[in-house]
Amino acid sequence: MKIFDNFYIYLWQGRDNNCNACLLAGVLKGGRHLLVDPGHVRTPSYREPGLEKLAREIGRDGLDYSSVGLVIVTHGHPDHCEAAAVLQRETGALVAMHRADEEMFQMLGGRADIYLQEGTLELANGSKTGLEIFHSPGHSPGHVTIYWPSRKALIAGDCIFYRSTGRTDLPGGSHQALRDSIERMSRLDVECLLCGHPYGHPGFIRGREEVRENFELILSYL
Amino acid sequence: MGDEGIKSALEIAMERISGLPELTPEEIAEQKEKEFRPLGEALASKYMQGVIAETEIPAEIARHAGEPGEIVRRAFVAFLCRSVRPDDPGAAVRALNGLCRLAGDAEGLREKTTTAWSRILDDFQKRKDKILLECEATEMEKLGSLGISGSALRPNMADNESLKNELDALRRSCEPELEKLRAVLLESLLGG
Repeated sequence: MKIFDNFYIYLWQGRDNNCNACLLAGVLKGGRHLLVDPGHVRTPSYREPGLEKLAREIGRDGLDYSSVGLVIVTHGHPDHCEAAAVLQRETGALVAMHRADEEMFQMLGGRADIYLQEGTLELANGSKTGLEIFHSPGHSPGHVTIYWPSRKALIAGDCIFYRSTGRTDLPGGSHQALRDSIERMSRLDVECLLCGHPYGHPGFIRGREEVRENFELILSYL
Repeated sequence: MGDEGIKSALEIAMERISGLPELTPEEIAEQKEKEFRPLGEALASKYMQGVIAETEIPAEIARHAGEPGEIVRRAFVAFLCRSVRPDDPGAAVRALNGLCRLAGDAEGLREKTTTAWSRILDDFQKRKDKILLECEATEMEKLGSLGISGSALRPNMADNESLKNELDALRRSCEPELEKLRAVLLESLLGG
């Protein structure tokens, strides 16, 4: 689903657990794409073909998923990065993630080509796309969120959902770190918030007020 | 068949042994070396892993007296000398401390070797950092050519072939100085 310009989001609508994905089309040399959180290849319980569905939806938007040149995984849990290992092998896409989560990705047969840390990420294909990477631990030690300042968009992974947050009871999780991460995110100027999962809501929040209310509600009980 | 025709396994074995030629002194020495060198190496390995404390080394070595003791000591020293490498400074310092502890004049040996070791390590680290920066810069250029850049990126250099080759060459280039240091250690601990 196209949100604006070259920004597409793919909200998971299956029965099983899988993540929302998004794609910035044609932002790399040669018109290649950036894909964030490709999710499961197949979901664990119902064996739904996550990657196949994602590829089909990308195709419906007139894009080719084999042209993905860079995959960013917000964290190393399989429901976000399992398919990244496949894309890496099959399309030669580079995979970028925080070093602290790489071990989990390695267990799925992947390997980080690029380590992400706090800082800027510039993508260029004639025109430039400037993104900011935030290290936002809590749900996992190496969780990152991606902020697109010029479009006021935040790709939040499992840091924040609609009226809830990512769990902190998994290995490396930390309630305090998650709270700190969310507090930092809440200070950004955000009009589009893509959450990592569609829990009780599609997981895409639009509008500055709606995003602010969501942060306020969550921070009030964290 | 009479009783005299039946031999025990021990008797058969003894007969066979008596038929063997005498071992030469070199062969006996080689056998002893084979028997006791692994003990020295195992002791050194235990020390390097932290199973044996530095203070326990002299007593552990002294448990083997005479010629076997000499072999154990030599193997222990050789193992630790091999561990004095700048690519693992923690292990190298532990090895050096262990070797100094074994020397009669521990402080004297420490004084003799500290300067040389610090110079080797310092030189290695500076050149290693430079190589790392250069190889990372090359990888960043490659990413740039794909349209990917920024301060958030650090290339994963773990399997980088050119980095591996450069570091191998660096290690080799340190060997002559390391050999000099090892020679000082061997001279002090084994008398040549």
